[in-house]
Amino acid sequence: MQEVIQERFKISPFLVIYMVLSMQIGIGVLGFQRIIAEDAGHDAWISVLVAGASLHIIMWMIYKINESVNGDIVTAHEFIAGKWVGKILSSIFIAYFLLLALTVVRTYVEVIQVWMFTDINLWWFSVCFFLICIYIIYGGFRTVVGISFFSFVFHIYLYPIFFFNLQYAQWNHLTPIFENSIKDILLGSFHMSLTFIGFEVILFFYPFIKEPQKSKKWAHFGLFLTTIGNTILMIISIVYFSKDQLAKSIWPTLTMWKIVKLPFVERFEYIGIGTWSLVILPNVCITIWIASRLLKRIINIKQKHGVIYIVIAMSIAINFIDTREKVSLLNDYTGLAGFGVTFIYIPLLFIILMIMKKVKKK
Amino acid sequence: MKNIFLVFLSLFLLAGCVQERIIDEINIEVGSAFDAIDEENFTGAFLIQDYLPDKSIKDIVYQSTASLRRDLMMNIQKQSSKEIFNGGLLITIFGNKLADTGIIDFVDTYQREPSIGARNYLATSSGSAIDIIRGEYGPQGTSNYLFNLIEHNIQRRDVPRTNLHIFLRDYYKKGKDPYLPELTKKGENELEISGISVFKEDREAYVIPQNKMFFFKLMVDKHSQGSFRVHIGKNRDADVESISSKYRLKLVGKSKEGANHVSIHIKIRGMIKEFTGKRLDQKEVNKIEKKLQKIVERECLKLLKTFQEKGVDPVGFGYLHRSKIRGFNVDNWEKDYPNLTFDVKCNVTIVETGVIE
Amino acid sequence: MKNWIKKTIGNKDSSQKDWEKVLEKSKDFSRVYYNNQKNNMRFCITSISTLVDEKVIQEEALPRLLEDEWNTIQDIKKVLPITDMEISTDPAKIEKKLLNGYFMLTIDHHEETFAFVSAQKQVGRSVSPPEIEFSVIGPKEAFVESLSQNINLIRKRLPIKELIVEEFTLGSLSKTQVAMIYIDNITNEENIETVRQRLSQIEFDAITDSSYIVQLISDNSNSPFPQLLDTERPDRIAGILAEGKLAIVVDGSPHVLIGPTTLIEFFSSFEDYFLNYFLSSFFRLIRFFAVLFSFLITPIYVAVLTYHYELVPRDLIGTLITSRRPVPLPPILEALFLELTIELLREAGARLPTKVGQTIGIVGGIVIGTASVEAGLTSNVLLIFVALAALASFTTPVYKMGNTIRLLRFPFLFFAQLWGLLGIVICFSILFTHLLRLTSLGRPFLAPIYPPRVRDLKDSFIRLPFRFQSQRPVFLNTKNPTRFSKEKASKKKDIDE
Repeated sequence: MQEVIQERFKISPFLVIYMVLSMQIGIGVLGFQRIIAEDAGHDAWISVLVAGASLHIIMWMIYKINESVNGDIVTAHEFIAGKWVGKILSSIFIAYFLLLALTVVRTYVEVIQVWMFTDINLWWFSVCFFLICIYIIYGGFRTVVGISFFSFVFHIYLYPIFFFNLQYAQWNHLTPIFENSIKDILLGSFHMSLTFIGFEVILFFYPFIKEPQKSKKWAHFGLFLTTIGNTILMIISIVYFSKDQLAKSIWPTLTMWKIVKLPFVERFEYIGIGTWSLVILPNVCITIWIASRLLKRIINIKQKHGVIYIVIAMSIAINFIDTREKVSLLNDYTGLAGFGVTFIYIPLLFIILMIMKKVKKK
Repeated sequence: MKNIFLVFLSLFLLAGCVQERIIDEINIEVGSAFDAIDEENFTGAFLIQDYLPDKSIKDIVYQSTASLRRDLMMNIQKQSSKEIFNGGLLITIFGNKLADTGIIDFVDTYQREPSIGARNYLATSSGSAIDIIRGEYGPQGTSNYLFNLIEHNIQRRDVPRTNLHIFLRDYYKKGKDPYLPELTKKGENELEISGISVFKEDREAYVIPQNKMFFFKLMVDKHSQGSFRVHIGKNRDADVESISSKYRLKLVGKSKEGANHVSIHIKIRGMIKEFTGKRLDQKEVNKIEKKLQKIVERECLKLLKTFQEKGVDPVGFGYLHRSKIRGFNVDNWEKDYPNLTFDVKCNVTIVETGVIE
Repeated sequence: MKNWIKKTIGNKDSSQKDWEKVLEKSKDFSRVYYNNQKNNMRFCITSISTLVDEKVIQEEALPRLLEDEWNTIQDIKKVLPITDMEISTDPAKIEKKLLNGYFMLTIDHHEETFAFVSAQKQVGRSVSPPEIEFSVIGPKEAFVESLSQNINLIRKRLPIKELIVEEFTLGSLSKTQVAMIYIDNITNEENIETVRQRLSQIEFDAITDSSYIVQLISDNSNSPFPQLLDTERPDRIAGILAEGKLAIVVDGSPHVLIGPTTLIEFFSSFEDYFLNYFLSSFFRLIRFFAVLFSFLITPIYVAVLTYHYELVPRDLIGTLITSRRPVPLPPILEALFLELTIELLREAGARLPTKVGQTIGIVGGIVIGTASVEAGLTSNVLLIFVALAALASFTTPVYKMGNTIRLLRFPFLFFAQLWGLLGIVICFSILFTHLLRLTSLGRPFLAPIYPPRVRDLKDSFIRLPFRFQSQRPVFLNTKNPTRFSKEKASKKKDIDE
């Protein structure tokens, strides 16, 4: 079943880059350095680069999947598995995106609880956050994309701040290059998944893009930017921290902000953490939007109502994750799920789709 | 619908609030000092800055004993009328004996605490740290005085760059030992930086004396405004200033096991500001250059040998090996260090000699 | 058949008598009978004396009517020199015309046909300099209350045939004349159709000002942000019509509405086009920062002083603590107290006549401010911030936006008290979502920032020189996007050529 979206709800192809960028820059960026360096040591930046490069292949597959059925992934599922099984396949993704949204919000609240306000009430803050997301989603897909655009534009000032860390750089932390084994480097790449996933959302909003052919180059460019950005961040982390120091720091990016001193602010972390709420806002909005849209496509619940049900479900679920270990576990599961979807499921879907297309042609 | 919204709003105000830390209702800790009493217990003092209505600063020190830093904090809170927060910590001093037994427990708390920045200074003292922090050093307040003292000496004089971040980084690095400036009380209210404490792990192992600090900084950091007095003959002294220096450590030899040979190249550029002799011509300038070169090479070599004897490696030769030789095992560095050979080569260029000859 | 004719005639009689009965209750309803001197024909001039210009009747109409020869109503056209004349038999028009300043001419015994002749009294002020959008350089003409005068001012500046004026009569009691003006071959049809549709669907009783129209046809009347710009200056209207927008003129209001509009427009004063582009870009940027400053500074003060003491630079912390020493209130209450005081001052100053208002302003500002610091109710640092913020909120050239910005401060204060800096960011994202969702006549309110149209940015935060402005704004989807030929405008000569 193809669905036709009216022109006035569609977005221009250039805006796809902001969707990719905002989904990829999320909670992972705050703390990924420690995990990768655990595996790959001072060659961790190679792991990041390798992980990022491999994403382009997946992106190419994503576009091929969308183009061959000229619709979103629900259409693709129906094409290969028929109506009912296809619907079941699509509904797995509802759970996937809810998991993603939950992880992002809970991890961020944990960051606030550790760094800023130890007594912030988890429930009230997440409910307020979800309410804002509802407000955004009710404005339509265009508003969601608008928030991605703004979040990117408004947090970009954080990146030049890392120059402060370069003042303390010890470049001999990086040498000798390739001292760690290929196996370790690839293990590091595997652990990058939580940070890098998110761009598969294109599968779900493809029908909302005007002239989707033109958006391909923007999507790839977005991937390229995040790869370069994360690699540079990893390099800066390696030259700034010594090896064991990095292993001790749970959120290296935030620790790096501790040394920043600007003329009018003495301590920069608080501004950075505050701005980060703007960074994760589109992550949560896009995932809830997709989940509610899937509900609409599969079970035909109005998206307006679907959003409310989802938010209520998440508000209840978030209360059960109350300790550091549980948050850590949640992150691990989500990382695994992300890896599974991105690197296993999508290629599988791609292959099956290509085969079925050939078969159906005959 | 409106009613539900209003109920929500009021609940937000009541339940969503977080604990306030209003700026004039708290005590901001700006400095701390720790002295050891015996193996387990120590005395700690927190320095609080109070602002009087005429904008002058009054220092208050709270002191207590404990065996864990957390306990100390709790004990001291019992003495203070306003709650103490440590977000403004600028300087921490460790007493002599405490530095000998190990300071990593204290520094670890600073790492763990999210409200403490990474730019604050750590220092050791040659006597009691609490004495230093209880002193009166002028109207700008003790913590500002101490902070500025260390800061301008780092920027312009002979103290190598150091702060909490650098200390931790070097502590956790295998093959390099951390160092901190040492403070000594000279009189009732006078203080000076008397040397650099070099640590082995987290214990103080050796103190570089004040007159050798210049050479140490040449090898681990770059000078930007140093100065040095060169004596080239009877009544001919030159004061070389605005010294900027660069250093390079070169590893000669590539063996994976054991120490190799390290060559240290130091480049100094300076200007002559004072000369007590008669005429300052090119020959004299060359003599000054050569003399300075020799002094630097000699002193640096002596310093390095002393480090080797004491078993401390603040320059980081061990780490140098690890970063240049593939597969080098830096865990054995303690054994290999005594076998290290090195030489120092220095190159001095005098750029300016003032406006007269 | 006969009965039917009798009935209709009877109905006509009764309807005429109906309106007569109602109108006769008013003292200014006048009915005068005259006899024509030539053929002794009796005719009647009915009018509402407060609406007609007696001079027109006495000097231009009556002499001709009394002395010239005319027999039927149709002859009037040759006799009277007044062009705005209508002959009709429809009694429904009587009310409308009489109450618009026309006088009715009927011949005795032939009262089914009547003529309406225009004799409107021109009451109202003459063209004067603008009060709100005063500019140091540039024309100093402003709109007045009369619709025809205003349209005259606009037409003078755009004397082309494509300038279309469409009229509507709105308001069941006020019967206000509303005109929609646009340039035919430039403006997008959709925009025209939207306005036309919305205007014609208005249901209201008394429309006395253009701001009523704004609220009735706004896309989102719950939003504090105005979605239609209003201006007093005809030169601004001319510029905007040339861009491809629409103007709505309301009789009785000196403010003319413009749509569709964007957020950026509310920060651009027309003076920007009279000054050099470099200066005007600089001033625009100052305005933007002033606005940001005005609604962020007090919440930041509250947030930092309540939760984030670590952020304050080392040297400033002494000043802040000593200034807050004597104050018994927490920062949020202190800030609220000062903000409300400023609002009180503003409201009081606005109600009082000018001379007294000025005194109160000075008294309030200086005396109350200083006294409250000395009494220890507020800190002097906060006083400076609040005063500066209040000033800064009025840098927007559009009065309505200034009010909105002053209002914006309060939600930010609430969130600052709730979650400190984090709360401010959250409130900011709510504000941004609201702006994103806002449309003005169907067009996105945040163009050209979002959807990002780089070409339109040349006249938003900065103003590029005229030679770059050869294209009309993209977001308007105009029919003819070229303003002037770029090649002809930028033909350059080489050195010494």
